[in-house]
Amino acid sequence: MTRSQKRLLIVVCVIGFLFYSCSNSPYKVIGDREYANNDFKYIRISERYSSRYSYISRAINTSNWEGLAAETKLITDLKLRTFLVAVRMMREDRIFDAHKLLLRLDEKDFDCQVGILKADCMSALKVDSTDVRKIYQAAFDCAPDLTIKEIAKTHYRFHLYGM
Amino acid sequence: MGCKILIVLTSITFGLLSCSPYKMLKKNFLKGKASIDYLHGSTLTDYTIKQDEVIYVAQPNVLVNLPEVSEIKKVYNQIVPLLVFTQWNHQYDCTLGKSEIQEDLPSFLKSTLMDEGRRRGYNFSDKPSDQSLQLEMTIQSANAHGPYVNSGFFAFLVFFYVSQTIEEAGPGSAESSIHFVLKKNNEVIHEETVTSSATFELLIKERRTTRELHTAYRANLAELLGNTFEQNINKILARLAVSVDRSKP
Repeated sequence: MTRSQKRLLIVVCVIGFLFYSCSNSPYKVIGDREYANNDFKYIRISERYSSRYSYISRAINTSNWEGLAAETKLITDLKLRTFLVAVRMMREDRIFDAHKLLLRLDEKDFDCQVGILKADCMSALKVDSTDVRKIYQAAFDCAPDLTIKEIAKTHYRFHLYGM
Repeated sequence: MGCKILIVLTSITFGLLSCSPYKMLKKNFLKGKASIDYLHGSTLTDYTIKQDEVIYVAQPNVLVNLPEVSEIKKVYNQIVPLLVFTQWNHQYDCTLGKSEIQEDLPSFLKSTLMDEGRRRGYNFSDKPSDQSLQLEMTIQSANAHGPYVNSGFFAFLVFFYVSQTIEEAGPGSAESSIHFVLKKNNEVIHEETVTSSATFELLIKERRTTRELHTAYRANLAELLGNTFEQNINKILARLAVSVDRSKP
């Protein structure tokens, strides 16, 4: 194997690994009319948050960060921008950074999904399990509708069983 | 040349036969613990009961039929070990054991019932008192089990081979039954046994490794057992609401 072939092989492996790790994120974004099952850690981007929710969802689910950056530039609400960047970081498994951003928001923001994501961060950062449970329970109790309650339950399920 | 092919085929056949999923299933199933905990589904703001009377909750007793350690029982084993065609079908029954459950069942029952009850407005206490109502519980049975199937074939077709393996876990089922007695001044006010069962759909290997499938199966059985406890706790609390009201002078 020549040197150029070796380089090409390494590049292909790195791209393959990146693609694999990106596509394997448990986080997935859904809209208002989509059903949240047990397979993913869903986050709902509601029409109430932004009229361009479908573009934002697609950019996050396909890990199109340039597209997401373009969308967030159009958003004037600083809280929503922070939330979306935090969601991106959760998808990229940058838990510590995501947690720092989420601390700027209130647990009740975005239909209490900030609370759910904070609990996910605590879970990933291996904080005591009893405290993490309390945060999930608080997010569940605060959830305004059944979809968010199901989302909280699914995230807690991931915390317990890792799936 | 023919001799070499024969050696290769024999090796493959023996290799496939020696790869019984039993050891791996047992190893993965017994490795680690799964929680039966769950988030309380009741609504905090929706108090239908507001009890002033203190109810002392005694540490529950256990008359449980869960094995100490999870059991993997062989139910059916079939192997067709021909050199050019090998087929296998292994079926097991997996039962969740106490040592693979993260929580201690009596403590879990007590703390979860008290948490859920407090959310609904009950005044539960850990400390006994002469005047208070007393709730005694016995876990009469708790069981979570289900089938696991590993089947497939390997066919050698001169220049290439065809193979398929199917791994399926479930559908699992769980059942638990709790006997409870509510007393006032050592007089029985209400006594009943509540039973609940739950099942879950089949788990297939899709997008998972074999190890992940085994671990997911154990987790699902534990979750299922937790569901039956949740249902039983809700039933007990609903019965208590009626009994406590009746006990008032």
